[in-house]
Amino acid sequence: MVGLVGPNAAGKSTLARIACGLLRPATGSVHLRGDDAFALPRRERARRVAFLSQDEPADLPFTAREVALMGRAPHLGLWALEAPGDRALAEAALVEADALDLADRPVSQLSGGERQRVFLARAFAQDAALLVLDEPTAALDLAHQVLLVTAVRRRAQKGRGALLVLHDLALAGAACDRLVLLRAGRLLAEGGPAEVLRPDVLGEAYGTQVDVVPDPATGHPLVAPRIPR
Amino acid sequence: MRRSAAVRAAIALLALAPLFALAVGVGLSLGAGTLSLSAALRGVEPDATVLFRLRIPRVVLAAIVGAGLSVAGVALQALLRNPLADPFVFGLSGGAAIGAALSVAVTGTALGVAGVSAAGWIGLLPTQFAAVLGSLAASVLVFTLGRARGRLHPERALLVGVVFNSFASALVIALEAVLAPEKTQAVLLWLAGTLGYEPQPVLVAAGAVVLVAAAILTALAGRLNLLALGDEGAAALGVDVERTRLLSFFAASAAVGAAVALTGLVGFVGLVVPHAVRLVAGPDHRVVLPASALGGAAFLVLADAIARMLFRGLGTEPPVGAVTALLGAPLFVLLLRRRT
Amino acid sequence: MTRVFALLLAAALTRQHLGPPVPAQVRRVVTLAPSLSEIVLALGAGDRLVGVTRFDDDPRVAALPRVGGYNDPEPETVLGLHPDLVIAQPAPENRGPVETLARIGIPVEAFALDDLKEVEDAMEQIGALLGVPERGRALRDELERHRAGVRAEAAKGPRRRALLVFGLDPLVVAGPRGFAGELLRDTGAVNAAGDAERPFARMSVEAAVRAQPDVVVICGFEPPPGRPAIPGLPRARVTTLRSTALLHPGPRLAEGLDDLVAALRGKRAP
Repeated sequence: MVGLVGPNAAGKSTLARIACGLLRPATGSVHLRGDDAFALPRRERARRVAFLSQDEPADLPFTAREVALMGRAPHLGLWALEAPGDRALAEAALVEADALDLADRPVSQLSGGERQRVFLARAFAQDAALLVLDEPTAALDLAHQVLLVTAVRRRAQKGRGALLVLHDLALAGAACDRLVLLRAGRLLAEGGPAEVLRPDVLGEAYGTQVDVVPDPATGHPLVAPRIPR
Repeated sequence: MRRSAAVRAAIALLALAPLFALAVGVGLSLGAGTLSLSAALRGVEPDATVLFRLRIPRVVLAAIVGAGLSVAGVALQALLRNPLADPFVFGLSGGAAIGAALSVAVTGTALGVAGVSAAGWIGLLPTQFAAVLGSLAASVLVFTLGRARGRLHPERALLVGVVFNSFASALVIALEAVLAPEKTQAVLLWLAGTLGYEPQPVLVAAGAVVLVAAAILTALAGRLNLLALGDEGAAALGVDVERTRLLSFFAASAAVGAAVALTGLVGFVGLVVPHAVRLVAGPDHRVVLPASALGGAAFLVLADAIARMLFRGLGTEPPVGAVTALLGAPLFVLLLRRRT
Repeated sequence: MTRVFALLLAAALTRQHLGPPVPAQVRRVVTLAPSLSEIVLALGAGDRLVGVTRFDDDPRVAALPRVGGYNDPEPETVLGLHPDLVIAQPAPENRGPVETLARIGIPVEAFALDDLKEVEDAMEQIGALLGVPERGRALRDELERHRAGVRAEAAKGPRRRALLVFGLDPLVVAGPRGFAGELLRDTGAVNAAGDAERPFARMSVEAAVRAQPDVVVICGFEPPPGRPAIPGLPRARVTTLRSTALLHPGPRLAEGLDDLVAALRGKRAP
C-alpha cells in the first residue's frame, strides 16, 4: 500500500489519474505489470487498475447494488450482460465495503459517507490488481475510515496493490507501507513512513512546524501539527 | 433488483406486449369508415383494401415512428445527462423543417424538378426526401460545431442545436412570407406532425433504419449506464467515451431522421415515453431502451387511433403531434403522482 | 435550358393520370376541390357526384358526404364511396394523399386550374371522361364567347388601372398570368400588379401605392371596416365583390367576369 501525500496543488490527484491512464503525462511513462499503460486497450487497462475519484457524481438514480455491479463493466461482453459470477462478486464487494445494508437504496438518496462506501464497493468489484483511491476518507467518519483502510489493506495482503492519495498524515503513517511525498509537482521524499514522516522533511514540504512521535501501541510515526497557544 | 438485466428487459417487454397488442387492435379497428375484420380477411372489398393497404400500413408507420423517437429520446437524455432532452434538441427538427419548407418553395423551379426526380427515384415524396437531407445536414453541422479540442461536447452540441432550431424556425417563417399563400398551409401541416399512408418499400426502409438504430443503442446501453458516472468515471471503467457518444449521437439522429422524414415533427413522444418507462422500470438503459421502443410504438399507435376517432366528425386527417401532447400530458402527470 | 425543363414539367403537370385506368362508364365521381365540383355540375353530371370536400358550399352538393379538405382527403372515406374516378387539383401539398388513393386502386385524374387555358382544357377533358364531350366543348365555347363579348365592349371604354385583391395582411393580388389576371385583361383594365410572376402574388403595400391603381377590387371577402383597405391610396375607389365566382376557376368564371366588369364600372356588384 502506497500513500501519496503532500500539500495542496502538489499534483497528487494528477499523479493518481496518470497512474490510472486517465491523463497522459507530458513526459515519462506508466507501466502496469510491465505493459505500457497507454498502449493497453481501455478495457484491459480498466481490468488492471480501478479508480475511485474524489468527486464521484451524487445524483445517480441507480441503487447501490447496481453501482457496485458497474464495477464489473470491464469484464463484460458486447451486450454488457452480467453473469451470476459477476453478481456474486459485486455482492461480496458490497460486504467488503460495509455497504450491504445500502444495497437496494438509490445512491442519490445516500449521505456522502454512505455513497463513498458504495463507490468503494464498485472499485472492489472491478477486481483489479491495482486500486487507486483519491482522498477516499474525506467524507467518512472515523469508524468507516478505519474500515476502508483495513479493507484495502486486506486486499493488499492478498496481492493487490493500492495507491491512496491521503490528506491525513496520521492515517497515512498507520496504514501505508510506503509513502511518496510530493510538493509543487515534484517528488520530495519517498520511502517507509519512518523515513518520510520526519519533522524536517515535513517542515520543508508543508512549510509549517510539526512534531512526530511514535505511536505507543504500534510504533508507527504519528504526526502532530505544532500550534502556538 | 437481483435479476439480471436481460431478465428484467424480457419482463418489461412481456409486460408491454399486451399493451402494444391492445394498441394495435384499437388502431386497426378505428378509422374513417367501418371495417369488418372477417370480411377483410376473406378478401371482400373494400374491407380488404382498407385493412391491408390503409390501416395496417398506418399502424406499422405509427409503431416505427413511435419506437424511433422514443429510443432516440432515451439516447439523447443519456448523452446530455439531461432528462429534458427530446429527440429534436440537436437541431434535427430545425434541419428537417428547413428541408421541407425549401422543397415546397422550390416546386416548379429547376431545382425543384431535380429534387422531385431524385426523390421519386428513391421512392420518397419530395418533402420527405428534403426533410431527410435537411436533418442529415443539421446533424453534421451540430456535430461539427459541437466539437472542441477534438472531442464532442454534448452541452456544446446542445447549445448549437437549440440555437440552430431557433434559426431554422425563423428561416421557415421568413420563407413562408415569401411563399405563395396556399403553400404555407402545407408547411404548417407538416410541422404539426401527421401520419399518412406510406408505400411498403418506404415502411420497410424506415423500419430497418429504426431497428438498426435501436439495436446499436441497446448494445451501447451498458456504456450509456456508465456515462452517468461522469466522463472520468466511465473512462476509468474502460468506456471509450468519445466513441460511445458518437455512435449514440448518429444512431439517434438516424432514427429521428427517418421518423421526421415520414411524419414531420411529432412532439412529446421522445420526451415522455422514456420518462414513463424509467418511472416504472428503473434507470438501467439495458431495460429502458427496448422497453421505450415497444412503449413508444404502443403509445403512438394508440394516440393516432384516438386522434382519428376525435377528428372523425370533422372529416379530416388529424395532426397527430397535437394529440400526442393532449393525450400524453395528463397520462404523464398521473404516472408522476403515483410514484411520489 | 432550365426554363425549357420547367415548362415541360409544367405541361406534364397540367393534366395527370394516376392509378388504374378510368372505366369507360364513369358513374361515381369524387371531387377534391369546389371548382371541380362546379365543373361536374355544369356538365350536367351532378347526379354522378358521390363525394366532395368540406369546402364545397354549393347548395346543390349540400347533401353529399365530405371526404376532407384540399390537402387531406381521407382515403378510407373515399374508398367507402366506391368511386370510379377521383378528380383532383395537383399541388405539392396533396401529392401524398392523392398518390395513396391511386395506390389503393382508385383512378385519379388531376387537373391544374391556374390559367384560363387550363380551366377550359379541364372542362373539356372532364366532359370527355364523363362521356359528355360535347357538353365540355360547349362550356369552353361559352366562356370564350363571353370573354370575346366583354373584350369588344371594353375596347370602347376607358382603360383603368386596377388591382385585383384576394387577400389583405398580407396583400395578395392577381398577377397577369393566372385566370383572374387574364379576366382582368379582358375587361380592358390595366393590371396594376403587371409584373407579378405568379397567378396570385404577394405585394408589398408600398409597391401597391407606387402602382397607383384607380380601382381596387376586393374579391370574395369583406375588408375590415373602419379603416382604409390599403393605406396610402386615398383616391383609389375600393369596391368589394362579395360573390365567390372569381375564386373558383370553372364555369362560374363567366359570371365572375360580369361581376368584375360591373365592379370596375362602379356599379354595385352582387
